[in-house]
Amino acid sequence: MTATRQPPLLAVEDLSVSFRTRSGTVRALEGVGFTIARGETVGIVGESGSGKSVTAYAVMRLLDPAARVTSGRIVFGGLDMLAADEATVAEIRGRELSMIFQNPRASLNPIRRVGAQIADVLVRHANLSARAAAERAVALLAEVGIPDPARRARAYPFELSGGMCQRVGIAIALACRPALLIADEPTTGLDVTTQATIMDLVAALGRARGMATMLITHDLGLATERCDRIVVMHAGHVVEDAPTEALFARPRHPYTERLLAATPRPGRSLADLRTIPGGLPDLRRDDLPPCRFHDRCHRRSVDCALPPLPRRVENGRLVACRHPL
Amino acid sequence: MLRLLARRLAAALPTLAGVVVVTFLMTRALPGDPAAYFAGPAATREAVEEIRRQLGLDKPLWVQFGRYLADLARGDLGISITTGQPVLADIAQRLAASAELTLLGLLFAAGCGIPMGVAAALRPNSWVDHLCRVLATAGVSLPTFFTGLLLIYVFYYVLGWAPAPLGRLDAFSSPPPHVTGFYLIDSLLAGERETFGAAAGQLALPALTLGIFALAPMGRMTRGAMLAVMSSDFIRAARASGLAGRTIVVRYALRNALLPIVTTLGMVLSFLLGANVLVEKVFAWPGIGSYAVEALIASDYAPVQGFVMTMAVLYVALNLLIDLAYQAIDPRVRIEA
Amino acid sequence: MSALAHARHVLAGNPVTGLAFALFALLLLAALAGPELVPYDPLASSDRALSPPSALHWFGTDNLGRDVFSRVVAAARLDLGMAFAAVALVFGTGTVAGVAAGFLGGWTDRVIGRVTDTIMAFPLFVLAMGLVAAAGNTVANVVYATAIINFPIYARVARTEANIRREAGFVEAARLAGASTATVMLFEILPNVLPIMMVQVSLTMGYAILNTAGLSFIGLGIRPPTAEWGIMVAEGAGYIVSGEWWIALFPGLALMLAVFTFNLMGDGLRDIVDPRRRT
Repeated sequence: MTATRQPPLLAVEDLSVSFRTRSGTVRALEGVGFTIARGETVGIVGESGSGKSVTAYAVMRLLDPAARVTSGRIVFGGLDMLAADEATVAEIRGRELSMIFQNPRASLNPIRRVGAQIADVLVRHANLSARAAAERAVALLAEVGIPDPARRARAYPFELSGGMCQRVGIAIALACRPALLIADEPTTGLDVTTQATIMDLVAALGRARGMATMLITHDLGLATERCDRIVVMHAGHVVEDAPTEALFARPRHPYTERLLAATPRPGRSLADLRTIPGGLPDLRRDDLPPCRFHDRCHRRSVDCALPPLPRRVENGRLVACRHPL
Repeated sequence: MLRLLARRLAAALPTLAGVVVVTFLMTRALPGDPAAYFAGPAATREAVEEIRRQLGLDKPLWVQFGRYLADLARGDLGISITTGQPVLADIAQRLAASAELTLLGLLFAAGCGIPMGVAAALRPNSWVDHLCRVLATAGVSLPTFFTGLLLIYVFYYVLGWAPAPLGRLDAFSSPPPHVTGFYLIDSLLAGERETFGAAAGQLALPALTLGIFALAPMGRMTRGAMLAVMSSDFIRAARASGLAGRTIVVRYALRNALLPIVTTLGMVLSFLLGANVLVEKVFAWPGIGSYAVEALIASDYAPVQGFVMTMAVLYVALNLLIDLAYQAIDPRVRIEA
Repeated sequence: MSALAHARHVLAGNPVTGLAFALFALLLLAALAGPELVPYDPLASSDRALSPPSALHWFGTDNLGRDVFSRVVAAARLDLGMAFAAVALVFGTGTVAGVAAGFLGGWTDRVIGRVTDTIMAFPLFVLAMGLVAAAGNTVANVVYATAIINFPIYARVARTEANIRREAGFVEAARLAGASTATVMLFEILPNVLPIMMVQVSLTMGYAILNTAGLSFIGLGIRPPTAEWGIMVAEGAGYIVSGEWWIALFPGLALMLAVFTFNLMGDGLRDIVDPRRRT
């Protein structure tokens, strides 16, 4: 997908994941594929329930026990993540590949001081002594912009604001200088001002270290601002994959067009926003059409209901539609 | 921290007041003549009248209550007819025996129940989990006195591993010099190895009986608490950091799970203090439980009242300790208060 | 899905609960018809004392030559009867008190809360001992004492449930329609609270059985020569050390079976009534 000659840092190929639930099998992901190059920031965008977080957890090998990877490959830095054993993967997590979460305070151990939590990761992966790890933890808190870091290191998560908790989360995730950071809705739970500062922090740190970022968000506007490339997901499918400017200037999938029309932008009033009719299909159905946007699409034709799901790659862009715009 | 302690103590006072009032009312609620009760079945008419005067049972109720409080303040819990001693002295002498037994039982229950609960929680729906749940339900269904008798039959009569259930020491040993009243500790302090062995041998079965009884709720609570914690966000985040399995289970999950477990401890203690009485009867253990039971059979009422009061006060004190332990584990409560 | 169909669905998926219900039926049979069906008179002594289990005496005989099997089965009526009486008593009083506290709040809530807290300040079995000792060593007092020590949990559960439903739509509707407070409590809240309380009943039946047996083990309540599981174990206790295990074992097993059955039934009922709370 990208123009670099190096192999991608992360390659997800034809990934399908199902969940066994009491009411049936949910086909959460089907044929999901994309790549992330070193240093690239890629946005995974879609509605709630589109499978963005499931993809992230699949990459980290942190899926729920009820989940089954029914097909596909995930290759990270040359390692086949799905075939590797737990010990190997645990080595990589936190060191080469890490994650920050939607609810920053809930993602921290409530009865452990934040400095100690950072130090835990350092002791585990960087082989530091307890004392050296504690000192380094304070330094990391300073790097993520927490004032009075030495004192704050002894604080508990409940004593910190949401924004500060997210900074701590970032400090933990970046402590060992990972090659890829997965950010799962990192600013959704924060107020607008804090959102901006947190995203700036992530971007700055990422640039300084040549770190790649996978930004998961339902906010297409945010993705457009911060990402080099955007992967649009709908109901467990990748429907479009393109460089940001190209996507923004000329969306090719009907769903992407709808999403853009529903995204607030400067110069637009609320009245200009359009909703997307319908909702996500029930992923437990056996009779799902090959294109899961089929029932909500205004451009559908009779042959859209026939398999297989079309995928067209042109000019470094992917669109999964028979009648792209 | 001290202010917190003072606050918690103050909160316990109404409970203590309730205990005192209830124990007072219980004696005055005796059907028939309370004086006859306290004098005992073998008392003469004069003795009964003497008791009536002594206890002020002819005075109005609130005057009686005042005297009752004054007596309590002086440590006067009445005289036991069967031993002829002040009840408080009897209880003080026998308290250590019960305490040693109950503590050991609790330690066993926690030492087995918590790891069992953790193991069950880490492998949900496996055979380990099912086994633990069956054991827990069975443990809760077994009457304590029955478990004790079963253990005596198997380990004493059949296998001959345990000594005869005749009390704290066997016929050949004598108690170590008194320091704490706990034979295990005192014998170690005095360097008396054989006494330690004898005391430990006698303690084994009764402590095991109590422990099995408390094992069930502890195991169940641990399993539930661990399951809840293991599915929380911060555990997932910890795994995402690649932390080792043991770090996650012990330092992250279990410590958080301890909070509800400690809260359950209060309920477990209520059961244990009650079960203590039954175990002491089965094993002829010279503690306050058997003291009360013997007094009950002999219609000697003052010891029973003293026993109920003592147990209640102990229970309030232990609950206070549990509350403080909770504060120590959970910084959120500590700092907010 | 109708209530019966739902119950059958849950039972099908959980054979253990089915087993529990079957055992319950067996216990009920023993309690209702036991004394009439047993081979020997539970109180009749013979000269075949202390004989081990045999074809003639399935559970052996005790120190007075009485048939242990007959005594164990006959005792079911007394043990289950006492526990049931205590639970019925506390179910009635505790539910009403708890609903009143939860629904009316204020002063009622405070008073009932104080009563509950005072009871819970004592280790419960100890309190029962004290109460029976104070009020007199009779069967009735054992039943009352068992009821009193179970009061807090019923009051608490009922209070929580009433609290939840206090602001519910159907309550508002009844109030708007002009129903008095008492009517609302009786006809709207109470029926909704009953299913959860039934679960509690099954769970505390087991506890009540253990309680009454424990009290009689230490000599409170039933006296010899009446056949009751607790005193039978007490009588058999002295013979354990000399190897006559059957006198204490069978009543003890009966106790365990009864408690186990009610605990399982309680778990099963809880699954039927409120699957969210499954442990």
